[in-house]
Amino acid sequence: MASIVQAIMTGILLGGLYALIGVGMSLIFGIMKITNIAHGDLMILSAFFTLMLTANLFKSIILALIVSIIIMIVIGVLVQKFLINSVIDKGSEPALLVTFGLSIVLQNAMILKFGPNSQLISTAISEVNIFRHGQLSMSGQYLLNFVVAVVIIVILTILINRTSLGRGIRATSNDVMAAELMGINTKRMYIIAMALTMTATCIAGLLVGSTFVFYPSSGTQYLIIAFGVVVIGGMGSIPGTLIGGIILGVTQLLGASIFGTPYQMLTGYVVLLILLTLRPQGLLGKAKRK
Amino acid sequence: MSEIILEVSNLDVFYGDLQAIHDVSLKIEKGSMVSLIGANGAGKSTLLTTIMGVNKPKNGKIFWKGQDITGLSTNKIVSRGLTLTPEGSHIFEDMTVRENLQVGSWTNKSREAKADAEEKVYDIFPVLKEKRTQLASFLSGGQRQMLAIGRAIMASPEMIICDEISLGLAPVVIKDIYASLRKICESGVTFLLVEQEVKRCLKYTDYGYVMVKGGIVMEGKCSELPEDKVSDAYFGIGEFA
Repeated sequence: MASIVQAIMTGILLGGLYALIGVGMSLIFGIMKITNIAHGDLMILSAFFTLMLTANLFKSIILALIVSIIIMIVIGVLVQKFLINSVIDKGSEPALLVTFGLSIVLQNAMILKFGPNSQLISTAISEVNIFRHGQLSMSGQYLLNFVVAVVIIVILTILINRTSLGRGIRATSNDVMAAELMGINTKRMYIIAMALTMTATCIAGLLVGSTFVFYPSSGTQYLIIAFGVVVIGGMGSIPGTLIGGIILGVTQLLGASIFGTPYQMLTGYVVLLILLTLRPQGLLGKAKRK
Repeated sequence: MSEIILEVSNLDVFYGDLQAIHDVSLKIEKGSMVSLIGANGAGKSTLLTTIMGVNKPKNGKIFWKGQDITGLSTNKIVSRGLTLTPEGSHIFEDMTVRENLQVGSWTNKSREAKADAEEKVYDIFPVLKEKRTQLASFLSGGQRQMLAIGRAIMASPEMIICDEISLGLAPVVIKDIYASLRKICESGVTFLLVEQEVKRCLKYTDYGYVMVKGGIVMEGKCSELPEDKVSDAYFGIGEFA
Protein backbone atom coordinates (compact mmCIF):
# COMPACT_ATOMS: atom_id res chain seq x y z
CA MET A 1 0.00 0.00 0.00
CA ALA A 2 2.78 2.38 0.95
CA SER A 3 4.44 1.72 -2.39
CA ILE A 4 1.23 2.71 -4.23
CA VAL A 5 0.97 5.95 -2.25
CA GLN A 6 4.65 6.58 -2.92
CA ALA A 7 4.16 5.93 -6.64
CA ILE A 8 1.21 8.32 -6.89
CA MET A 9 2.99 11.04 -4.93
CA THR A 10 6.25 10.78 -6.87
CA GLY A 11 4.27 10.39 -10.09
CA ILE A 12 2.49 13.68 -9.56
CA LEU A 13 5.78 15.45 -8.87
CA LEU A 14 7.44 13.78 -11.85
CA GLY A 15 4.40 14.77 -13.91
CA GLY A 16 5.16 18.41 -13.20
CA LEU A 17 8.58 17.99 -14.76
CA TYR A 18 7.05 16.14 -17.72
CA ALA A 19 4.60 19.01 -18.17
CA LEU A 20 7.43 21.53 -18.27
CA ILE A 21 9.21 19.38 -20.87
CA GLY A 22 6.05 19.29 -22.97
CA VAL A 23 4.85 22.87 -22.60
CA GLY A 24 7.28 24.29 -25.17
CA MET A 25 6.25 21.71 -27.69
CA SER A 26 2.60 22.47 -27.04
CA LEU A 27 3.19 26.21 -27.53
CA ILE A 28 4.95 25.69 -30.85
CA PHE A 29 2.27 23.29 -32.01
CA GLY A 30 -0.60 25.47 -30.85
CA ILE A 31 0.73 28.61 -32.46
CA MET A 32 2.56 27.45 -35.58
CA LYS A 33 0.96 24.01 -36.12
CA ILE A 34 4.48 22.62 -36.25
CA THR A 35 5.67 19.46 -34.51
CA ASN A 36 9.16 20.33 -33.36
CA ILE A 37 11.16 17.08 -33.58
CA ALA A 38 14.23 18.90 -32.26
CA HIS A 39 12.43 19.88 -29.03
CA GLY A 40 14.17 17.26 -26.85
CA ASP A 41 17.58 17.99 -28.34
CA LEU A 42 17.20 21.71 -27.78
CA MET A 43 16.39 20.97 -24.15
CA ILE A 44 19.45 18.72 -23.73
CA LEU A 45 21.58 21.38 -25.47
CA SER A 46 20.38 23.92 -22.92
CA ALA A 47 21.26 21.50 -20.10
CA PHE A 48 24.81 21.22 -21.49
CA PHE A 49 25.09 25.02 -21.67
CA THR A 50 23.95 25.41 -18.07
CA LEU A 51 26.33 22.63 -16.96
CA MET A 52 29.32 24.16 -18.77
CA LEU A 53 28.56 27.66 -17.54
CA THR A 54 28.24 26.55 -13.89
CA ALA A 55 31.40 24.45 -14.11
CA ASN A 56 33.61 27.00 -15.86
CA LEU A 57 32.32 30.53 -15.52
CA PHE A 58 29.81 31.16 -12.80
CA LYS A 59 29.44 29.90 -9.27
CA SER A 60 25.74 30.58 -9.21
CA ILE A 61 23.50 28.14 -11.03
CA ILE A 62 20.78 30.79 -11.42
CA LEU A 63 23.21 33.09 -13.23
CA ALA A 64 24.27 30.19 -15.47
CA LEU A 65 20.60 29.46 -16.18
CA ILE A 66 19.89 33.08 -17.14
CA VAL A 67 22.86 33.17 -19.51
CA SER A 68 21.92 29.87 -21.11
CA ILE A 69 18.31 31.09 -21.50
CA ILE A 70 19.68 34.08 -23.42
CA ILE A 71 21.86 31.82 -25.60
CA MET A 72 18.93 29.47 -26.25
CA ILE A 73 16.61 32.36 -27.15
CA VAL A 74 19.19 33.57 -29.68
CA ILE A 75 19.49 30.05 -31.12
CA GLY A 76 15.69 29.64 -31.16
CA VAL A 77 15.12 33.00 -32.85
CA LEU A 78 17.78 32.25 -35.48
CA VAL A 79 16.25 28.83 -36.15
CA GLN A 80 12.82 30.43 -36.39
CA LYS A 81 13.86 33.35 -38.57
CA PHE A 82 16.15 31.59 -41.00
CA LEU A 83 14.91 28.00 -41.07
CA ILE A 84 11.26 27.71 -40.04
CA ASN A 85 9.86 31.08 -41.19
CA SER A 86 11.26 30.52 -44.65
CA VAL A 87 9.31 27.28 -45.14
CA ILE A 88 6.25 27.80 -42.92
CA ASP A 89 4.12 29.26 -45.72
CA LYS A 90 4.52 26.02 -47.66
CA GLY A 91 2.61 23.99 -45.06
CA SER A 92 3.61 22.02 -41.98
CA GLU A 93 5.51 19.13 -43.66
CA PRO A 94 8.58 21.11 -44.82
CA ALA A 95 8.85 22.64 -41.34
CA LEU A 96 8.60 19.17 -39.78
CA LEU A 97 11.50 18.01 -41.95
CA VAL A 98 13.52 21.09 -41.02
CA THR A 99 13.14 20.30 -37.31
CA PHE A 100 13.98 16.65 -38.00
CA GLY A 101 17.20 17.71 -39.71
CA LEU A 102 17.95 20.11 -36.89
CA SER A 103 17.56 17.25 -34.39
CA ILE A 104 20.20 15.14 -36.19
CA VAL A 105 22.58 18.08 -36.48
CA LEU A 106 22.17 19.00 -32.79
CA GLN A 107 22.71 15.43 -31.51
CA ASN A 108 25.90 15.02 -33.50
CA ALA A 109 27.19 18.48 -32.69
CA MET A 110 26.70 17.75 -28.99
CA ILE A 111 28.62 14.44 -29.25
CA LEU A 112 31.49 16.29 -30.97
CA LYS A 113 31.55 19.14 -28.50
CA PHE A 114 30.69 17.53 -25.19
CA GLY A 115 31.63 13.87 -25.76
CA PRO A 116 29.35 10.83 -25.43
CA ASN A 117 29.62 10.49 -21.62
CA SER A 118 26.85 10.90 -19.11
CA GLN A 119 26.52 14.19 -17.28
CA LEU A 120 24.65 15.46 -14.25
CA ILE A 121 24.16 19.01 -13.04
CA SER A 122 24.69 18.77 -9.30
CA THR A 123 22.79 21.25 -7.20
CA ALA A 124 22.48 21.78 -3.48
CA ILE A 125 18.91 20.53 -3.56
CA SER A 126 19.52 17.21 -5.39
CA GLU A 127 20.46 15.38 -2.18
CA VAL A 128 17.85 16.90 0.14
CA ASN A 129 14.87 14.89 1.32
CA ILE A 130 11.83 16.94 2.26
CA PHE A 131 10.64 14.13 4.49
CA ARG A 132 11.19 10.47 5.11
CA HIS A 133 8.55 8.57 7.04
CA GLY A 134 8.73 4.80 7.11
CA GLN A 135 8.64 3.71 3.49
CA LEU A 136 7.50 7.13 2.24
CA SER A 137 9.85 9.87 1.18
CA MET A 138 9.80 12.97 -0.95
CA SER A 139 12.85 14.25 -2.78
CA GLY A 140 13.61 17.96 -2.67
CA GLN A 141 14.58 17.95 -6.34
CA TYR A 142 11.23 16.43 -7.39
CA LEU A 143 9.30 18.93 -5.30
CA LEU A 144 11.32 21.82 -6.78
CA ASN A 145 10.67 20.49 -10.30
CA PHE A 146 6.94 20.39 -9.64
CA VAL A 147 6.72 23.85 -8.09
CA VAL A 148 8.77 25.48 -10.86
CA ALA A 149 6.71 23.71 -13.54
CA VAL A 150 3.41 24.87 -12.06
CA VAL A 151 4.67 28.45 -11.73
CA ILE A 152 5.92 28.55 -15.36
CA ILE A 153 2.70 27.03 -16.69
CA VAL A 154 0.55 29.49 -14.75
CA ILE A 155 2.64 32.43 -16.01
CA LEU A 156 2.41 31.21 -19.62
CA THR A 157 -1.34 30.68 -19.32
CA ILE A 158 -1.88 34.21 -18.02
CA LEU A 159 0.41 35.65 -20.68
CA ILE A 160 -1.41 33.89 -23.51
CA ASN A 161 -4.97 34.37 -22.24
CA ARG A 162 -4.92 37.73 -20.52
CA THR A 163 -2.46 40.06 -22.23
CA SER A 164 -2.52 42.02 -25.46
CA LEU A 165 0.56 40.16 -26.70
CA GLY A 166 -1.18 36.88 -25.91
CA ARG A 167 -4.22 37.94 -27.93
CA GLY A 168 -1.94 38.71 -30.86
CA ILE A 169 -0.35 35.28 -30.57
CA ARG A 170 -3.75 33.56 -30.33
CA ALA A 171 -5.13 35.54 -33.26
CA THR A 172 -2.12 34.46 -35.33
CA SER A 173 -2.63 30.83 -34.37
CA ASN A 174 -6.35 31.11 -35.13
CA ASP A 175 -6.18 32.70 -38.60
CA VAL A 176 -2.91 33.98 -40.05
CA MET A 177 -4.44 36.02 -42.86
CA ALA A 178 -6.97 37.74 -40.60
CA ALA A 179 -4.23 38.47 -38.07
CA GLU A 180 -2.13 40.15 -40.78
CA LEU A 181 -5.22 42.15 -41.71
CA MET A 182 -5.38 43.42 -38.13
CA GLY A 183 -1.87 44.81 -38.63
CA ILE A 184 -0.17 42.01 -36.68
CA ASN A 185 3.27 41.05 -37.92
CA THR A 186 2.59 37.31 -37.73
CA LYS A 187 6.19 36.24 -38.37
CA ARG A 188 7.22 38.35 -35.38
CA MET A 189 4.56 36.58 -33.29
CA TYR A 190 6.20 33.28 -34.27
CA ILE A 191 9.58 34.60 -33.14
CA ILE A 192 8.13 35.72 -29.80
CA ALA A 193 6.47 32.33 -29.35
CA MET A 194 9.82 30.67 -30.07
CA ALA A 195 11.53 32.85 -27.45
CA LEU A 196 8.88 31.90 -24.85
CA THR A 197 9.30 28.24 -25.77
CA MET A 198 13.07 28.45 -25.44
CA THR A 199 12.79 30.02 -21.99
CA ALA A 200 10.50 27.24 -20.75
CA THR A 201 12.64 24.58 -22.44
CA CYS A 202 15.85 25.92 -20.92
CA ILE A 203 14.37 25.81 -17.42
CA ALA A 204 13.16 22.27 -18.14
CA GLY A 205 16.68 21.42 -19.30
CA LEU A 206 18.23 22.51 -16.00
CA LEU A 207 15.67 20.56 -13.96
CA VAL A 208 15.98 17.43 -16.10
CA GLY A 209 19.77 17.70 -16.04
CA SER A 210 19.86 17.95 -12.27
CA THR A 211 17.30 15.16 -11.73
CA PHE A 212 18.56 12.52 -14.20
CA VAL A 213 21.86 11.86 -15.93
CA PHE A 214 21.84 12.92 -19.57
CA TYR A 215 23.78 12.23 -22.77
CA PRO A 216 23.97 14.10 -26.08
CA SER A 217 21.48 11.56 -27.42
CA SER A 218 18.97 11.87 -24.55
CA GLY A 219 16.85 14.34 -26.52
CA THR A 220 14.85 11.63 -28.29
CA GLN A 221 13.76 10.07 -25.00
CA TYR A 222 12.42 13.42 -23.78
CA LEU A 223 10.84 14.15 -27.15
CA ILE A 224 8.73 11.03 -26.66
CA ILE A 225 7.74 12.18 -23.17
CA ALA A 226 6.82 15.61 -24.57
CA PHE A 227 4.70 13.91 -27.24
CA GLY A 228 2.88 11.89 -24.58
CA VAL A 229 2.22 14.95 -22.43
CA VAL A 230 0.99 17.06 -25.32
CA VAL A 231 -1.21 14.36 -26.81
CA ILE A 232 -2.86 13.47 -23.48
CA GLY A 233 -3.34 17.10 -22.45
CA GLY A 234 -4.50 18.29 -25.84
CA MET A 235 -2.31 19.70 -28.61
CA GLY A 236 -1.84 23.41 -28.06
CA SER A 237 -3.44 23.59 -24.59
CA ILE A 238 -1.01 24.98 -22.03
CA PRO A 239 -2.96 24.03 -18.86
CA GLY A 240 -3.50 20.66 -20.58
CA THR A 241 0.22 19.90 -20.41
CA LEU A 242 0.07 19.94 -16.62
CA ILE A 243 -2.76 17.39 -16.62
CA GLY A 244 -1.06 15.38 -19.37
CA GLY A 245 2.23 15.38 -17.46
CA ILE A 246 0.65 14.25 -14.21
CA ILE A 247 -1.33 11.45 -15.88
CA LEU A 248 1.77 10.21 -17.68
CA GLY A 249 3.94 10.46 -14.55
CA VAL A 250 1.46 8.73 -12.25
CA THR A 251 0.65 5.89 -14.67
CA GLN A 252 4.33 5.26 -15.34
CA LEU A 253 5.22 4.99 -11.68
CA LEU A 254 2.09 3.01 -10.80
CA GLY A 255 2.96 0.63 -13.63
CA ALA A 256 6.48 0.31 -12.28
CA SER A 257 5.31 -0.35 -8.74
CA ILE A 258 2.61 -2.88 -9.71
CA PHE A 259 4.22 -4.73 -12.65
CA GLY A 260 7.89 -3.93 -12.05
CA THR A 261 10.26 -1.29 -13.39
CA PRO A 262 10.59 -2.68 -16.94
CA TYR A 263 6.89 -1.92 -17.47
CA GLN A 264 7.19 1.74 -16.49
CA MET A 265 7.28 3.16 -20.03
CA LEU A 266 4.85 0.56 -21.36
CA THR A 267 2.03 1.35 -18.89
CA GLY A 268 2.45 5.08 -19.50
CA TYR A 269 1.99 4.69 -23.20
CA VAL A 270 -0.79 2.10 -22.97
CA VAL A 271 -2.76 4.69 -21.00
CA LEU A 272 -1.84 7.22 -23.68
CA LEU A 273 -3.30 4.93 -26.35
CA ILE A 274 -6.50 4.37 -24.35
CA LEU A 275 -6.99 8.12 -23.85
CA LEU A 276 -6.27 8.75 -27.51
CA THR A 277 -9.01 6.30 -28.49
CA LEU A 278 -11.54 7.80 -26.10
CA ARG A 279 -10.67 11.45 -26.69
CA PRO A 280 -8.49 11.97 -29.76
CA GLN A 281 -8.23 15.73 -29.30
CA GLY A 282 -6.70 15.30 -25.82
CA LEU A 283 -8.30 16.10 -22.47
CA LEU A 284 -8.28 19.90 -22.82
CA GLY A 285 -7.89 20.04 -26.60
CA LYS A 286 -10.55 21.46 -28.86
CA ALA A 287 -12.27 19.11 -31.27
CA LYS A 288 -11.63 20.02 -34.89
CA ARG A 289 -14.51 21.83 -36.51
CA LYS A 290 -15.81 21.42 -40.08
CA MET B 1 -13.15 66.56 -57.44
CA SER B 2 -12.02 65.71 -53.96
CA GLU B 3 -8.83 63.98 -52.86
CA ILE B 4 -7.98 60.54 -54.24
CA ILE B 5 -7.32 58.17 -51.34
CA LEU B 6 -6.52 54.95 -53.22
CA GLU B 7 -5.25 54.68 -56.75
CA VAL B 8 -4.49 51.50 -58.66
CA SER B 9 -2.74 52.05 -61.97
CA ASN B 10 -2.31 49.55 -64.81
CA LEU B 11 -2.12 46.49 -62.58
CA ASP B 12 -1.24 43.06 -64.03
CA VAL B 13 -1.34 40.04 -61.73
CA PHE B 14 -0.34 36.50 -62.68
CA TYR B 15 -0.77 33.10 -61.04
CA GLY B 16 2.12 31.29 -62.70
CA ASP B 17 1.46 31.69 -66.43
CA LEU B 18 -2.18 32.55 -65.97
CA GLN B 19 -2.99 36.23 -66.01
CA ALA B 20 -5.75 36.93 -63.47
CA ILE B 21 -5.79 40.73 -63.69
CA HIS B 22 -5.39 42.67 -66.95
CA ASP B 23 -4.34 46.31 -66.83
CA VAL B 24 -6.71 47.36 -64.06
CA SER B 25 -6.89 51.00 -62.94
CA LEU B 26 -9.08 52.43 -60.19
CA LYS B 27 -9.33 55.79 -58.47
CA ILE B 28 -11.25 56.07 -55.24
CA GLU B 29 -12.24 59.40 -53.75
CA LYS B 30 -11.89 60.03 -50.03
CA GLY B 31 -15.17 59.66 -48.16
CA SER B 32 -17.01 57.89 -50.97
CA MET B 33 -18.66 54.50 -51.12
CA VAL B 34 -17.52 52.65 -54.20
CA SER B 35 -18.58 49.26 -55.48
CA LEU B 36 -16.70 46.71 -57.52
CA ILE B 37 -19.17 44.44 -59.25
CA GLY B 38 -18.33 41.17 -60.93
CA ALA B 39 -19.31 37.51 -61.21
CA ASN B 40 -17.40 34.62 -59.66
CA GLY B 41 -13.94 34.33 -61.18
CA ALA B 42 -13.87 37.88 -62.52
CA GLY B 43 -10.72 38.56 -60.50
CA LYS B 44 -12.24 40.71 -57.75
CA SER B 45 -10.66 38.85 -54.85
CA THR B 46 -7.28 38.72 -56.62
CA LEU B 47 -7.43 42.47 -57.10
CA LEU B 48 -8.17 42.96 -53.40
CA THR B 49 -5.50 40.61 -52.12
CA THR B 50 -3.03 42.37 -54.43
CA ILE B 51 -3.99 45.77 -53.07
CA MET B 52 -3.55 44.39 -49.53
CA GLY B 53 -0.09 43.02 -50.29
CA VAL B 54 -0.89 39.30 -50.23
CA ASN B 55 -0.13 38.84 -53.95
CA LYS B 56 2.59 40.75 -55.74
CA PRO B 57 1.67 42.39 -59.08
CA LYS B 58 3.84 41.82 -62.15
CA ASN B 59 3.25 45.31 -63.52
CA GLY B 60 1.55 48.40 -62.21
CA LYS B 61 1.49 50.40 -59.02
CA ILE B 62 -0.79 50.94 -56.03
CA PHE B 63 -0.84 54.36 -54.37
CA TRP B 64 -2.29 55.02 -50.94
CA LYS B 65 -2.77 58.73 -50.22
CA GLY B 66 -0.22 59.48 -52.93
CA GLN B 67 2.42 57.08 -51.59
CA ASP B 68 3.50 53.95 -53.42
CA ILE B 69 2.51 50.90 -51.32
CA THR B 70 3.10 48.24 -54.01
CA GLY B 71 4.84 45.24 -52.49
CA LEU B 72 4.51 46.28 -48.83
CA SER B 73 3.54 43.51 -46.41
CA THR B 74 -0.09 43.32 -45.31
CA ASN B 75 0.48 44.38 -41.73
CA LYS B 76 2.34 47.51 -42.87
CA ILE B 77 -0.47 48.49 -45.24
CA VAL B 78 -3.02 48.00 -42.47
CA SER B 79 -1.06 50.16 -40.06
CA ARG B 80 -1.22 52.96 -42.64
CA GLY B 81 -5.01 53.01 -42.41
CA LEU B 82 -6.25 50.74 -45.19
CA THR B 83 -7.95 47.53 -44.14
CA LEU B 84 -10.01 44.68 -45.54
CA THR B 85 -12.81 42.52 -44.20
CA PRO B 86 -12.13 39.25 -45.99
CA GLU B 87 -14.70 37.10 -47.75
CA GLY B 88 -16.29 34.72 -45.25
CA SER B 89 -15.57 37.16 -42.36
CA HIS B 90 -12.52 35.26 -40.98
CA ILE B 91 -13.29 36.21 -37.39
CA PHE B 92 -11.14 34.61 -34.69
CA GLU B 93 -13.45 31.76 -33.71
CA ASP B 94 -11.53 30.62 -30.63
CA MET B 95 -11.69 34.09 -29.08
CA THR B 96 -14.56 36.02 -27.53
CA VAL B 97 -16.35 38.82 -29.37
CA ARG B 98 -14.62 41.40 -27.22
CA GLU B 99 -11.20 39.81 -27.75
CA ASN B 100 -11.82 39.92 -31.51
CA LEU B 101 -12.42 43.65 -31.23
CA GLN B 102 -9.37 44.10 -29.02
CA VAL B 103 -7.18 42.38 -31.60
CA GLY B 104 -8.73 44.69 -34.18
CA SER B 105 -7.25 47.66 -32.36
CA TRP B 106 -3.74 46.16 -32.52
CA THR B 107 -2.32 49.11 -34.48
CA ASN B 108 -4.19 51.60 -32.29
CA LYS B 109 -1.74 52.23 -29.47
CA SER B 110 -3.56 54.73 -27.25
CA ARG B 111 -5.84 53.30 -24.60
CA GLU B 112 -8.40 56.07 -25.07
CA ALA B 113 -8.61 55.58 -28.83
CA LYS B 114 -9.21 51.88 -28.19
CA ALA B 115 -12.01 52.53 -25.72
CA ASP B 116 -13.61 55.11 -28.05
CA ALA B 117 -13.46 52.75 -31.01
CA GLU B 118 -15.03 49.97 -28.92
CA GLU B 119 -17.89 52.28 -27.90
CA LYS B 120 -18.38 53.27 -31.54
CA VAL B 121 -18.64 49.63 -32.59
CA TYR B 122 -21.19 48.83 -29.86
CA ASP B 123 -23.10 51.93 -30.90
CA ILE B 124 -23.36 50.75 -34.51
CA PHE B 125 -23.88 47.06 -33.69
CA PRO B 126 -25.60 46.81 -30.28
CA VAL B 127 -25.86 43.01 -30.64
CA LEU B 128 -22.07 42.76 -30.33
CA LYS B 129 -22.23 44.45 -26.94
CA GLU B 130 -24.79 41.90 -25.77
CA LYS B 131 -22.60 39.02 -26.93
CA ARG B 132 -19.21 40.46 -26.04
CA THR B 133 -18.24 37.72 -23.60
CA GLN B 134 -19.31 34.87 -25.90
CA LEU B 135 -17.01 32.94 -28.18
CA ALA B 136 -17.15 34.31 -31.72
CA SER B 137 -17.84 30.81 -33.09
CA PHE B 138 -21.37 31.02 -31.61
CA LEU B 139 -22.35 34.04 -33.73
CA SER B 140 -24.81 33.83 -36.62
CA GLY B 141 -23.78 34.68 -40.19
CA GLY B 142 -24.96 38.27 -40.00
CA GLN B 143 -23.37 38.78 -36.59
CA ARG B 144 -20.10 37.42 -37.94
CA GLN B 145 -20.07 40.06 -40.65
CA MET B 146 -20.94 42.72 -38.07
CA LEU B 147 -18.02 41.54 -35.96
CA ALA B 148 -15.71 41.56 -38.98
CA ILE B 149 -16.73 45.14 -39.79
CA GLY B 150 -16.53 46.15 -36.13
CA ARG B 151 -13.09 44.59 -35.84
CA ALA B 152 -11.99 46.61 -38.88
CA ILE B 153 -13.34 49.84 -37.34
CA MET B 154 -11.30 49.19 -34.17
CA ALA B 155 -8.13 50.16 -36.01
CA SER B 156 -9.70 53.57 -36.84
CA PRO B 157 -8.97 53.03 -40.55
CA GLU B 158 -9.44 55.66 -43.25
CA MET B 159 -10.67 53.11 -45.73
CA ILE B 160 -12.28 49.67 -45.46
CA ILE B 161 -12.53 47.21 -48.32
CA CYS B 162 -15.36 44.71 -47.82
CA ASP B 163 -15.14 41.47 -49.77
CA GLU B 164 -18.65 40.08 -50.35
CA ILE B 165 -20.10 40.92 -46.97
CA SER B 166 -23.62 40.02 -48.09
CA LEU B 167 -22.71 36.48 -49.14
CA GLY B 168 -25.15 33.99 -47.66
CA LEU B 169 -27.08 36.52 -45.59
CA ALA B 170 -30.83 37.12 -45.45
CA PRO B 171 -32.03 40.24 -47.33
CA VAL B 172 -33.18 42.00 -44.12
CA VAL B 173 -29.80 41.47 -42.52
CA ILE B 174 -28.04 42.77 -45.64
CA LYS B 175 -30.20 45.88 -45.55
CA ASP B 176 -29.23 46.50 -41.92
CA ILE B 177 -25.55 46.01 -42.62
CA TYR B 178 -25.63 48.37 -45.60
CA ALA B 179 -27.36 51.00 -43.49
CA SER B 180 -24.61 50.66 -40.88
CA LEU B 181 -21.92 50.96 -43.56
CA ARG B 182 -23.50 54.20 -44.75
CA LYS B 183 -23.42 55.48 -41.17
CA ILE B 184 -19.74 54.60 -40.84
CA CYS B 185 -19.05 56.18 -44.24
CA GLU B 186 -20.68 59.41 -43.12
CA SER B 187 -18.26 59.52 -40.18
CA GLY B 188 -15.46 59.87 -42.75
CA VAL B 189 -14.44 56.32 -43.68
CA THR B 190 -14.07 55.47 -47.38
CA PHE B 191 -15.52 52.15 -48.55
CA LEU B 192 -14.85 49.82 -51.44
CA LEU B 193 -17.56 47.15 -51.52
CA VAL B 194 -17.01 44.10 -53.61
CA GLU B 195 -20.27 42.47 -54.58
CA GLN B 196 -21.91 40.10 -57.00
CA GLU B 197 -25.31 41.72 -56.94
CA VAL B 198 -25.74 44.53 -59.45
CA LYS B 199 -28.99 46.05 -58.23
CA ARG B 200 -27.92 46.40 -54.62
CA CYS B 201 -24.61 48.01 -55.54
CA LEU B 202 -26.19 50.57 -57.83
CA LYS B 203 -28.72 51.39 -55.15
CA TYR B 204 -26.43 51.76 -52.15
CA THR B 205 -23.11 53.07 -53.47
CA ASP B 206 -21.91 56.27 -55.13
CA TYR B 207 -19.60 55.02 -57.83
CA GLY B 208 -19.28 51.64 -59.49
CA TYR B 209 -16.69 49.57 -61.35
CA VAL B 210 -17.69 46.48 -63.31
CA MET B 211 -15.09 43.76 -63.63
CA VAL B 212 -15.19 40.96 -66.20
CA LYS B 213 -12.48 38.37 -66.91
CA GLY B 214 -9.80 40.23 -64.99
CA GLY B 215 -10.38 43.67 -66.49
CA ILE B 216 -12.54 46.73 -65.76
CA VAL B 217 -15.14 47.03 -68.53
CA MET B 218 -17.33 49.81 -67.23
CA GLU B 219 -17.30 52.50 -64.56
CA GLY B 220 -19.33 55.50 -63.57
CA LYS B 221 -21.57 57.15 -61.00
CA CYS B 222 -24.10 54.59 -59.82
CA SER B 223 -26.98 56.96 -60.53
CA GLU B 224 -25.84 57.20 -64.15
CA LEU B 225 -24.89 53.57 -64.80
CA PRO B 226 -27.66 51.84 -66.77
CA GLU B 227 -28.67 48.69 -64.92
CA ASP B 228 -29.29 46.62 -68.04
CA LYS B 229 -25.89 47.44 -69.45
CA VAL B 230 -24.17 46.59 -66.16
CA SER B 231 -26.06 43.29 -66.19
CA ASP B 232 -24.94 42.59 -69.75
CA ALA B 233 -21.35 43.26 -68.76
CA TYR B 234 -21.75 41.10 -65.66
CA PHE B 235 -23.00 38.13 -67.63
CA GLY B 236 -20.71 38.82 -70.60
CA ILE B 237 -23.52 39.17 -73.12
CA GLY B 238 -24.52 41.80 -75.71
CA GLU B 239 -21.64 44.13 -76.52
CA PHE B 240 -19.51 42.55 -73.78
CA ALA B 241 -19.64 39.04 -75.22
